Amino acid sequence: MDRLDQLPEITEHVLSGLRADASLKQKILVSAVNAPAPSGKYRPGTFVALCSLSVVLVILCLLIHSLPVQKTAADLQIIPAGSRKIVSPVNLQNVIDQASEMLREDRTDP
Amino acid sequence: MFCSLLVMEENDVQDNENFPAPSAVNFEELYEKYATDVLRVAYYYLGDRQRAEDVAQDVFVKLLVTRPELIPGKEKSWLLKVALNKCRDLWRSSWIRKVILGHPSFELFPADDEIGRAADSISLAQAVGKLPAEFKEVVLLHYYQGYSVNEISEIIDVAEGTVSSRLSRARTRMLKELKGE
Repeated sequence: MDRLDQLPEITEHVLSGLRADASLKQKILVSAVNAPAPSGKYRPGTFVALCSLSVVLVILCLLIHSLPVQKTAADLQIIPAGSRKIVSPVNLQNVIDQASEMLREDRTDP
Repeated sequence: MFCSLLVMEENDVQDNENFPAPSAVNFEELYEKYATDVLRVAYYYLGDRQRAEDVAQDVFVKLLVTRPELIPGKEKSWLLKVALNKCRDLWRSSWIRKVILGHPSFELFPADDEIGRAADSISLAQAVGKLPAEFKEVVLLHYYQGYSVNEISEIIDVAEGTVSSRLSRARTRMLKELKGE
């Protein structure tokens, strides 16, 4: 494959009309002027901002999850341990209704 | 790992600040010396004149914009390395393959007084143009640009053994192509 050693000369023959001319240089200079300059300093990008935001959200969720939240029934009262005074969880209206019914039954009995 | 990347990026910025930027005279000089070679290597690779000019343009725009630290005597290596990287990226995209496959013949650009001599060399140039990309790179760098195996391994970031192997296989394939097998 000795002819490969002649590739430079062969290239000069077959591609002699293919040259980097003044018009290509002009295009390069125009493109370089319009190209954005590479940043010289490191700035925290979107990635860092999103990571920080996600960490804040996780901490917030953990805080909300750890808060004591207890549901209570409509007429049920919470009786703390060690309390001396106990408030009866009885609905007063129910007592009155039951008493009225008992009185009615006494009157109707022979 | 993330912190180490941050440190590395800051160090690169500081290293670039310690070296003077290439002057406009350097660009002119490098363009006059090497732009045609860059253009022709890109043309051999891609087989399309417009794409080759785009690659040459991108290479020298990068030179002007990024202002790399060029080792004296290695400027051409840097230019060709960037050019081959860009050619490789273009070659891998599917549409460029369709364009190349649609143009099996290697188009010649001989000067008017070279037409007669060019006819004798067309077969070899076309055979180079038809090589697979990885073979074309080593053949162009070794036979066209005159780089050694060691230098080629630095330019295209492969082992020297791989370069030698590709050169050998490229020669075999070209021999078959030229014999018409």
